[in-house]
Amino acid sequence: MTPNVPDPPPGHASDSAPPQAQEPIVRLQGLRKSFGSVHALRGLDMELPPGPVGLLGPNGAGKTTLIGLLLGLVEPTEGMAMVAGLQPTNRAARIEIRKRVGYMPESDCLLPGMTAVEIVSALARLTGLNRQDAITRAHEVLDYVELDEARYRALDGYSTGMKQRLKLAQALVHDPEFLLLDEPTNGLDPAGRRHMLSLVKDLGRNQKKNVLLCSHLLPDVEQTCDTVVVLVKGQAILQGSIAELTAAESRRLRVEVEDGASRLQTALEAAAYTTSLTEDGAVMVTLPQGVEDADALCGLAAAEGVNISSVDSVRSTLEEVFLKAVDESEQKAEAPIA
Amino acid sequence: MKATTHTEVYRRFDGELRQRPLRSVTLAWSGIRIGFKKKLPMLLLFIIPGIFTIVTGFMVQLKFEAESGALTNMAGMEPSAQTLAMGALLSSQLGQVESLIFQLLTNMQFFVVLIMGWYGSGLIAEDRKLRANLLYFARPVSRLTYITGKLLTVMFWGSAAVVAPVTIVCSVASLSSPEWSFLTERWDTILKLELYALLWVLFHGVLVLAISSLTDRRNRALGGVFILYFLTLAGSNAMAELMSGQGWRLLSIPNNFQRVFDSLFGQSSPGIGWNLEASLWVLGLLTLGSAAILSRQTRKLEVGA
Amino acid sequence: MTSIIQAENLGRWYGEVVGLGDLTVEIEPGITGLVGPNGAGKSTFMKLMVGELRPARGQLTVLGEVPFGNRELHRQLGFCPQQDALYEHQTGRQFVRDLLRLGGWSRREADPLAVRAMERVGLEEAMDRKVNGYSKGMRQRTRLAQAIAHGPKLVIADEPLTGLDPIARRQTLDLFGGLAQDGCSVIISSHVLHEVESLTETMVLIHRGRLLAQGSVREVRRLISHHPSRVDLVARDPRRLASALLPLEHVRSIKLGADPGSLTVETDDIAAFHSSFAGVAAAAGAGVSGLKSDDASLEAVFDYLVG
Repeated sequence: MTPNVPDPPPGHASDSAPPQAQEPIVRLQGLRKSFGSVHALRGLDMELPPGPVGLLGPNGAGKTTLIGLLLGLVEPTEGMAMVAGLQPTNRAARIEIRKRVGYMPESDCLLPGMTAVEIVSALARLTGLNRQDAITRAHEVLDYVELDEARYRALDGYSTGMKQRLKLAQALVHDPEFLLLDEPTNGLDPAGRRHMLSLVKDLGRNQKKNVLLCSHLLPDVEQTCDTVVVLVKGQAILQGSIAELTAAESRRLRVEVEDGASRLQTALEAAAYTTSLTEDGAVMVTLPQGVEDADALCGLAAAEGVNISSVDSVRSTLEEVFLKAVDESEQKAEAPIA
Repeated sequence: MKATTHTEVYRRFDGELRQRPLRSVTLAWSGIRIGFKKKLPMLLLFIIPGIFTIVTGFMVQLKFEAESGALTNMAGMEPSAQTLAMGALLSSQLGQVESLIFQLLTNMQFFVVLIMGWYGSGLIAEDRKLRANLLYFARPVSRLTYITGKLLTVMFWGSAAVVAPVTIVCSVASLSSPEWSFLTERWDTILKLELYALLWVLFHGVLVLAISSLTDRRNRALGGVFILYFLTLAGSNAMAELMSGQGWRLLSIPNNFQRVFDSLFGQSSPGIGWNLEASLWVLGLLTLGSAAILSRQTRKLEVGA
Repeated sequence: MTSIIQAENLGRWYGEVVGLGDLTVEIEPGITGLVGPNGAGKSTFMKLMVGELRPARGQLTVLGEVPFGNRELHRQLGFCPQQDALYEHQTGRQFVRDLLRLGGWSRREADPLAVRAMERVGLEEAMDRKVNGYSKGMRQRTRLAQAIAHGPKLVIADEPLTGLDPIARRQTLDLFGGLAQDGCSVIISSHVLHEVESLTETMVLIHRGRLLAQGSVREVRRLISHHPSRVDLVARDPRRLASALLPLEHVRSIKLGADPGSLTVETDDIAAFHSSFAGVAAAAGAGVSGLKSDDASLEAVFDYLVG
């Protein structure tokens, strides 16, 4: 029985056209938000491309306020903001935004005494689903996060992993186009983290949702996100694709060997490679002109009887990029105005 | 291997979102359900009000039936005298039943505060402690909806403690009075009683919620409710004695409600002789104050503080 | 090197729940990572080490002495627990100072120690503010401060990096590194494997209340002989490289990856692979630019052993 898919009626949770084809899901220009004398956001310019995006930043950088803005809970003091196609400048729009955004908070949040199904379906009804849809949908998202029989039990006995999955489920229940995940791997052991990250990756890449992942764990972000935004003191000091930011210096390689590093070095230098030794005994190699790969290097190693255990392009990690960006912004802040 | 099944398992939601769902009712209902989960406190809290209600109901019923002896005496009278006598009898019966119901109301007042405090003091405090507000306000829920939902929850329990008993006893009275005379003769009293009970519930609901919104700890909120209630009650009466000024009694919430009661039902209580306006002012100001606190605290919750 | 911790058949349970079943392990001075899934017994082991709990069975010595009820030993230990039990109305400095006084230091001595500890964890500006205004990360660092304030010989930290932003995280990891350089041993437990890896080579893996593995990651990996090692390769012409590698005896499987130029090889004998690779790659001329044994990461080892 092939269903005939009609045009979706208005008031839909998910738009009829995939968001990626159009506007970025969030665009902020010159955004300022102050609470009295506290300037939480100071001229924030940000555009979130489709797919999974990481939000990084030290504590106190304005993340909570930004989340409040993205959920339509606060009104901008100044500047332009566009979230999921709406501008949060009036109350009606701000409430409407929340139909299109799903939020997974960092803190515990869950009231004991209720079961997972009860909580998720109650929250679904609050969003506007009717009773039937709410229960069906609750079960669907609980299936997705793999909360099986436990869903009928009260929350009190849940492990951290189960609570995190439940929070993700409630964020998904109304099938929003935009997901805000705040430290989703908090308190999870390695297996739980892997599971959660695979869900996040699936949502961002396969299910084509716009995901904003707020995390302090940079490898998590590196693993699941394509782009990253770094928020420091209410401004986005860095935005871009992770691949570009951590771009490999293509002519430099890091070679680890089991033995005979200095022999290899000598041989390489004789062949016009520039080399140096690192603290832990690896050889840093700069390829000479005309050489594009490590084949010849391998030949030299084999000739010297050196066993190679690793060859890798030298690239910065996201952590290095982040720390460097934060450092630079602090120096800029302290530098006198020229 | 599990990762690949996610793609197959996730389903989009193609249903409609209701434009104007009754969100406060949903919130209220969730809140009420949580209250139902703990049976023991429910039993302990409602047992005495329950007993009062049943006893009053019986007494009311007896009032109407016990006078049947007097009726046979009237059988020997002349018709017109009979009518007069029966009328007088009925009148006195109705009056006595009314007193019984007033008595019930007065006895219940404390329990209502207890029950509303018990069920209501955690409503916002627990949300604050667990930061459940983050989950609620991420939904298209306005502050007003949130407050209304919570208010409905606490008023449900308060109504169960006073509006329901009053309604039950009035129904018993109506049914057992000859030809529904309680209903026909005293319908205005019944209405006033329900209104009074509702006002009591509404006022205390707003008060309890306001106190709950000021703290993260439910027990503190509960303590705050009692302290406020008793302190003003005992304190104001004590000050009135000490300072020999009746004006002090205005500070007590129960006294003010008593004044409203007196004026509704044409009675007067000792020591509560001031103008009705004064009481209405005090209660009105307290309500406004509570509402203002609620509004401000909810705003903080909304922004995720 | 005499070991700082010696546990033999150590057991501790809570009613029916087993905290530790039968742990036998020796930990050397330096920085050691204590790793294991939730409920494996890490926290129990730590509490036993600092003398908060008494063993139900077996033997345990810390710095050569039995820890339970040993006041002298406590002065040489610093424990940074996972639970948050700070006094909200105190300032951070007061908290650390009071704990020092509880440990036997006089008020005169305790305050400068507290101040220095708070500076070391990066809370010099916030130390005179009340704890109830601290963020999660600041509370974590305050707990750390009280653990190091008295200059202990051994610091035991249970999940000290949770809740910290990357900057604070780096500061804390540097702090641990600094402590180790000053001669203080550190035992740190964490879920976040790559962080432990960045700090130290020495791991103790605990699972189900027992010792699962111990040593450097590479050593442990080498011991897991029955799992074929996985090697990720990047080349301009992956199929050419694949056909050059296929004849090698120890190669179990070769999979072409989704990303262009990538392939993954499974081999029974990683050492043999390493020794033959250079020659094969040079001869094949497939434009090799990457070779990585992902398996030597703690995460992979953990996975094999626990998952």
